[in-house]
Amino acid sequence: MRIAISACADGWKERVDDRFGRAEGFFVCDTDTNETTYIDNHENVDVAHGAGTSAAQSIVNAGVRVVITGRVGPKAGSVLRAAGVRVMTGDDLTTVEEVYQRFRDGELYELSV
Amino acid sequence: MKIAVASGKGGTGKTFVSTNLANVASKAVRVALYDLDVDEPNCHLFFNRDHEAVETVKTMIPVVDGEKCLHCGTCSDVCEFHAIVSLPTDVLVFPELCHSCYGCLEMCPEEAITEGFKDIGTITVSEHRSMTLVTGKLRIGQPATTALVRATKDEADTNVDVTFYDSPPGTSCPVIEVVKDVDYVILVGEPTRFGLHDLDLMVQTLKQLDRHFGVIINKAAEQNHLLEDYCREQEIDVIVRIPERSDIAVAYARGELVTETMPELEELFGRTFKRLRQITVGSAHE
Repeated sequence: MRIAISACADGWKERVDDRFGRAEGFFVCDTDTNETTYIDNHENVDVAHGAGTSAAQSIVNAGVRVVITGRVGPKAGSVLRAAGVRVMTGDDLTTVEEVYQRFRDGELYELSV
Repeated sequence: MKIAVASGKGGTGKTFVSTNLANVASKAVRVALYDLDVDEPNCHLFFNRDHEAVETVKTMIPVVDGEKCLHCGTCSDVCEFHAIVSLPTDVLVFPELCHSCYGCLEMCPEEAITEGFKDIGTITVSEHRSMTLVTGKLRIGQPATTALVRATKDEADTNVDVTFYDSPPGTSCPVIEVVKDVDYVILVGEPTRFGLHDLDLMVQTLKQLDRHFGVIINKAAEQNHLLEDYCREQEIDVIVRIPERSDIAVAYARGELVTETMPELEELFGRTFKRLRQITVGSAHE
């Protein structure tokens, strides 16, 4: 299963980006193979409108089933919901590595979108 | 002859200038005033209107036929505004993001997309003595300002001698739509640092668009030459100075046309209109 963590850059040590639509990118990890990929979302950071729907489309296209992030806007939320992608969050999201471990340990909770 | 009244900064007196100029002009020639500040139109507050006719403006949004759609994702790929999202079993349309470009409809290989409509606002046409007032008003929650500005301009009254466009503030797409095909642009400036900064942005914009323009200095104070100095340096024509006076502000706030209630301002705007006609002779096109 592929999970995506909104991140400031590509790498396990990077900081989690709190925003979904306007995140710098998404660090994607396959929980079965441990393979990682990165979705660059930089072009959505400063876009006037449509950042959320665009980022959500990228997530769906990448076959991601779980997104871990801080906040999701209403339009992105409706896309993720329609695509059956779960959205998880936690308090005080720090690095990609640490948040991924908390996800594995069942310490994150569902974000209602 | 088409004249746009723009500013860059908000609150410098665009509506003050355009309503009063249109009012004095309408005593000599046939005039249409277009309120293109469609996010918050207010020219109508200054006129007693007759024969108001209201029409609804609609723009295209895509409607997806779920039976025909194969979820190939072409619609989502071509959409510059991410207004249509293609999911493995569903297609979501976000009307408020759609710019009605028809890209998805044209490119869909299955012809699964047809034309639907959303209401973006209204256009009201009314008469005030010999002047026609055309007002665009955006529907609340519909961020389609430029589309409505375009539609309001298209409500063309060909039976007039002079058309005034009251522009929104700023220098972005809606303003470009207003000024792009006019014969002349009046920039209403106020002599503050902020006013100068935004006036300069608008000057740079108009230079890029190759528009003919001049500046009206509003709220001009005796000792303040900020805008005069700027205009001299930039070789920009100062059309007229309107003095900073509290009685003018009070009259405007009451909804009065100062060209009706203050003879010296009727004279000033009359002079300004004559000046504009001299300036635009030769540059005007039909």
